[in-house]
Amino acid sequence: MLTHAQCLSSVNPVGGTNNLLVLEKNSLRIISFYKYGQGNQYYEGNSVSDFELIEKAFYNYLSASVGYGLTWKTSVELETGYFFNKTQDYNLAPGYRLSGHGLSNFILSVKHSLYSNPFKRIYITGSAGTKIPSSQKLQWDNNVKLPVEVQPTIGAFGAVFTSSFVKENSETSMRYFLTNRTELNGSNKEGYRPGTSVYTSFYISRHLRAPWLKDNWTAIVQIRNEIRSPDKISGKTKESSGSTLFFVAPQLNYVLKDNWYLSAMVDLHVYQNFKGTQLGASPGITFIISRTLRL
Amino acid sequence: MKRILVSTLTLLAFLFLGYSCAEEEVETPDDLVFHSLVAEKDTIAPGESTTIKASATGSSLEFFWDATLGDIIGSGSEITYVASPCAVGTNEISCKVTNGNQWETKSIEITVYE
Repeated sequence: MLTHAQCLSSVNPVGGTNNLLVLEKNSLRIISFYKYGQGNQYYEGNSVSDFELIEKAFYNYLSASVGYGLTWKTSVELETGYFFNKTQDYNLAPGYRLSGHGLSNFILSVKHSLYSNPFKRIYITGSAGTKIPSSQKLQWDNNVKLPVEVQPTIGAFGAVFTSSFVKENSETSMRYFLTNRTELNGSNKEGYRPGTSVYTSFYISRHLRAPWLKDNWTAIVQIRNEIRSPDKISGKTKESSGSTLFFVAPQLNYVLKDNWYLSAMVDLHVYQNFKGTQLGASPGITFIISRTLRL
Repeated sequence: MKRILVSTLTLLAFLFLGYSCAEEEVETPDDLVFHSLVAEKDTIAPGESTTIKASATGSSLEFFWDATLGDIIGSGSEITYVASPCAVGTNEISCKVTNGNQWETKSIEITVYE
């Protein structure tokens, strides 16, 4: 999910549908995704603004996640990521760039199967985890402390809760997913507290079958809502923070040799509403690779 | 055996003394004076900028800049502070000056109005 609304927030990006269910006992799942996100247009409410301090903001992010099936109903997951860059290009004369890079946050979570009915092919899972910043010290460059928007981590601990509902229909080769992810944040050492983020996604997935296709392609369409409450500084609400966004994200999955799952996804914004004036989201791309091993 | 030990200790003592002398040679004098921290404007609108200048004297000075909100453009003794609408409110801009031996910090407030 995106991170560049709200003037490039500090939430870990999240990608794909590959980690929704609980793992089988003693199996190990490794997921990595690369994401490019950008924003180059300010919005005031839900209207385009002519404000133009930042010409372009963008990031390149690589995530890694490892999950292990402790029991048939419970798995543990560790997720982290690295920002190769988190950059703001200023619309100044001469032009100027501020850029941060480095590890983002670690999220250690426990996922549990809440309901599983293989006959009706309905699965419900829930997870709870803790967000641990890779560093509590904010990043400096050239003796200047970088603004929060380009920090790879804001240095605040937090909690992450997810839930997933999956329904499969083998006759029509369709799958339906409804997922929710809520991130609660504490304050960092400087009193900065990112707002709560709630992501809700609905996915429709269809196994592609055609004479000219091998039997290993799946098309997915995701409709995603992202709600962020305003950030706070020393208890005071930060101006121009907080947003409600809707995206459509088409995704194509390919299974290679029954083991490797490869996906490509495009994020397209369809509605953006910001508190105050903020840099909006532009199309982003994600590439995902995952593999599950039975130990 | 005893002679080797004495020789080794003597050599280490010379090395230590030499290192200590080298350390003393690069010692920085206590000559830092941070005179002032002045902003061209103390109130700006989002998207506007103001120059902030730190005036200090001393040997091999380094300037470290920090803002509660808003962006610092440039580095050294003079920077430009710019603010996006995210930075509306009163923001503190701090400058720490050091000569490697001493350091001193001054702060000013810039108000970004809606």
